[in-house]
Formats: sequence, C-alpha cells, structure tokens
Amino acid sequence: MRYLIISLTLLLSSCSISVIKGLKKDVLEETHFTNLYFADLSIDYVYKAKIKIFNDFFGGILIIKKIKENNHRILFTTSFGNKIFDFEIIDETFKILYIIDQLNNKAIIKTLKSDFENLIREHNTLYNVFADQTNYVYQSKLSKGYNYYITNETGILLEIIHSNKFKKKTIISFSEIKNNIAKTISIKHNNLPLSINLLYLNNQ
Amino acid sequence: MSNVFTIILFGLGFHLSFAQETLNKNEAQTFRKQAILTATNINSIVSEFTQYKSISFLNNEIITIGNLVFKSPNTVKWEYTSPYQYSIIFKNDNLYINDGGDKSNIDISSNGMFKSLNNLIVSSINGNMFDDNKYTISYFKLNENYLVKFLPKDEKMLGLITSFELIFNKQTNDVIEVKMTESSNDYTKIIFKNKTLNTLINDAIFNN
Repeated sequence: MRYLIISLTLLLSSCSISVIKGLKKDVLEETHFTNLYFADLSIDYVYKAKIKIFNDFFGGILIIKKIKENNHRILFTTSFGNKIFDFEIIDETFKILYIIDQLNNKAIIKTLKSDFENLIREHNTLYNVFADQTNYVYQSKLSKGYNYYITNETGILLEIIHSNKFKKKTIISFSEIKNNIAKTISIKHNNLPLSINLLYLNNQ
Repeated sequence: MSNVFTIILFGLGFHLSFAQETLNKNEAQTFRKQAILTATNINSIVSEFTQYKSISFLNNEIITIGNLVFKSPNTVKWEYTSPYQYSIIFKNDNLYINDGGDKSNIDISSNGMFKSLNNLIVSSINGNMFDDNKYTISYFKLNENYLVKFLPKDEKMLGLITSFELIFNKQTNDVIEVKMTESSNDYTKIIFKNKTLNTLINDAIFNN
C-alpha cells in the first residue's frame, strides 16, 4: 500500500512538472502575459480549417473576430457558407449562437469552449515564469488548471499548453508568425480524438 | 455646378443599379416557361465562379474563386481553387471531398440533408427552382437581366435560409448569379463567368 502511494505520488509529481521540466524559475517581472493573435479589432481573422472530432471530419472556414474589448465571435462555416457552429465569448461568458445537431453534444461543446477560450484569451494573469536558454514559459492559473504560454527569446508566442494539475491536456501550436498573425495553428488533445488545424487566408 | 452634376450622375447610377421592376403576370409566366425550357435543355455546364460571403460582423467579404462542372441529371463538381484547394463532387448518391489532398467520401443515399443540398445546387445552377410547393416565387426585371426571388415555405429551411435569389441573363435565360440569404442577414453570393453550356464532359473529371 505504501509502495502504491509512493509510486502514485512520484507519477503525479513527475507529470505535474512535464511542461516546465528542466527549466529554471525566473524572476517574474510582468504581472500579465498578452496573447496578441486575435487582439486586433480591425482584422478579420479568416482561416481555412480542418476539424476532426472522433470519426467525423469537417472542412471549412473558421472566422475569429474581436468585436470589442473582451468580446469575440467564432464562426465555422462550410466552404459553401453554411454554418457549422457560431460562438460568442464575452468576458468569461460563452454563448452558443448556433451549432449543427451532429456536434450538439455536451462533451464536444465543453472541449470546443475550452479550446477557443484558451486560443483567444488576451490578458492572462501570471503566476510563475520559467526559462531555459531559448524559451520562456509563462504560467497562468485558471479556475481549473493552468495555461502555459511558451515564447521564444524575442517574446513570440509559440505554444499554449493547457493542463490540469497533473498533465498536459491541450497543446495549441503557432507557426509562420508575422505581424502578430500566426499563419498556421494546430490544436491537439492528449486525452481526446479532437484536433483543429488552421491555415490563415489572406483575404484583405 | 459640378457638385450638382455629380449628385445627378451618382443619383442616376444609384437608381439604375437598384432598378427592380416587378414583372406582370404574363411577363412572369413567359419568362418562367423559357427558363424551365432552357434548364431542361442543359446537358452540361462548365463555368468559373467567384463566391462572396458577407458576414455582418466582418469588415470585408470573404472571396473565394473556383470552377463548376455539371453533367445532367445530377453530377456536380464544385471546386475552389483560390485562396485554397477544396473540391466536392456529388455523384451516384455519394459525396466525394478533396480538402487540400485529404480525401473522404460520404454515402448520401440515406441522408436527406445532403440529398436536398445536391438537389438545391443542381436546381440553382441550371435555373430550375420553380417549385411553387416549396417556394413563394416573385419575378423582377433588372436592367439587363431578370431577378427571381424564392422564399422557402418549409419552416425548418426558413430557419437557415430566408431567401434564394437567382439572376437570369435576359437573352439566354440561364443563371448568372445565385444569392442565398440566411436568417441572420448574412449572405453567400456566387457569380458565374465564362460559362459554357452543353459541351462534352469527360467523366474522369468527376473522379476524386
């Protein structure tokens, strides 16, 4: 029994530090981390999207628009223009304006809600900061779990890792970044067969 | 004086571009007969298209460009080429998708929604949507064309699409523009260009 408890403790503690394993705690100079990827009111963020949910595959266009401070619309349509889902996030409130029957499932909605909230949340209160020679990891505490914002040495956001107390649950990766726009974005889940791949369409 | 001239010109332009005159009953019947005759004589369509998606909360329309190939009675390839590659083929009760190299297919023989989507696409591109049981239909004369508005009667459909508008070329009676307006007033407008009718289509074009 004692062995089991020790093993469990070891397992849990080793998982809890997987994001920041081998990193040194740094001096926390800033109180907030700002995610600028969906922060410009004047930009229509239009992405070609491939969303895989269990065995269903949806191809279409994902539009993210900051309407005003702390207010975003997230709309996913087919290439023809038919809506698949339409969400609105105002502060911490998540509204479902439309979702097709096929996706109207509690677990799917909960995951999409968490993914999009993590993707667009602009102002994040910092709890800790860690660093190695090339990257910084900013830890932000949520009501449930943590978000880790991983930047390179020039402050460009490369990844957001969403975790509970013990392990990584979601990894959001940004690449081909220019003028605060990530041309490619991927969202992967460690515990769910749900993935989102986005490619920026320069439509303006 | 120049300001007055500008106002007159601008005013006239505005008036012309929005001139919409209702067809009288006889004109509407004559046009409808001709449009149905044109549609039934269409064996194939090859056309380029530009699609404009207007969403109320966006600053700009989303513009996509592509090609359409239709072969009677109901085989359609709808292909987007810019700014991304995506094609969808309706063939033999199947839906074949090629999303930038990722291929998939769906058997739609038992899927009512996809079947009606296919019927809708076919009827809107060949211009034979004149079903009074499904739509309240009204007819208008534009400058060089005819505009026909189809308001769905089915409440379930009305919840998604409030109107279809088809613009027909006055000379040829075939469809040059399709506009679908959603209940939120967002719309998708498709303008066809370089359209050729009844050319020989190689079936290999409908292979995914």
